[in-house]
Amino acid sequence: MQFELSHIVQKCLHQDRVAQKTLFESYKGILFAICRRYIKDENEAEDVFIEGFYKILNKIDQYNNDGSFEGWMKRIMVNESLMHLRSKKMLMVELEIQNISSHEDSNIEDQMDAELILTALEQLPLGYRTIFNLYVIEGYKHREIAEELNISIHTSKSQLILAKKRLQELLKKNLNLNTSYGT
Amino acid sequence: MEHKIKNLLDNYEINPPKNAWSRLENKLMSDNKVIQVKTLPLKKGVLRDNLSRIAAVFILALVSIYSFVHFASKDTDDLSAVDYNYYSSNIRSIKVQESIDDIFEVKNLRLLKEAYNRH
Repeated sequence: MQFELSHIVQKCLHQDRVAQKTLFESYKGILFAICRRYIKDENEAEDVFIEGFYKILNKIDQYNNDGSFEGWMKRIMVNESLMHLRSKKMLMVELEIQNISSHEDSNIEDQMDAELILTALEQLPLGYRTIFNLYVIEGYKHREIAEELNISIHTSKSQLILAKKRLQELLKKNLNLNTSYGT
Repeated sequence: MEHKIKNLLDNYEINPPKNAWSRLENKLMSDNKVIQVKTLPLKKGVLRDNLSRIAAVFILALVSIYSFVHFASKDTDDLSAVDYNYYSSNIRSIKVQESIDDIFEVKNLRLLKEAYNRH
């Protein structure tokens, strides 16, 4: 698989259309899911996805084998999504909240699945969603998030706590809805 | 809980709309067209193959430039720049009653022409 991927990348370097399509078909699902996690509107997410993949194919010569190729593509897609949010001035309001406590409900953890989480994420305010995605899924540090979103580290931390708290509430609510519909 | 969320979402796939590849391909193709236009003069044979087109564009450009110069120099009094130079130089060569400066002050080329005819 690794050899196959490097072979496809080599062909993509020479603008081979078949190889480009193969790469697209192999990673479209994972990369589009990233855009959907950040951007609520499906059409806007699709535009960002197309633009992001276009950059991947055009800047493929800049991939320097430092880390996995999939990771490199994911990072481009995340950056493209953040750029979109910035261009639309969808920036979060600075909140300075202290002493926020949150506790985790283990019952929710056992029952949740990807679709349930995505639905709850969609319902989160944009700022919460962006920071939650960057910190929890992408693994950014608070310092990196602060630089990326031009906010303070404290804001990043406080918004993450609020995001987790709100997400739990939403997961609980959606689970109850699903249970009541199921019965 | 964070770890479970990360594990669930990290490799979760959502398929984009079916026309996504064709949209991307169109974008890539339009990009290639721009590159082709940019490299057109550098390719051997392209110049020869498109000689008639290049000649046509060249002639069209010449005609356009000539037309522009010709009509731009036309005076509203139907006196061309050439006529103007002719009359103004000749009027200087003959003795006229009115001073040339006075005539130029009028700034009407038809009057200039009439003055020339009178003398």
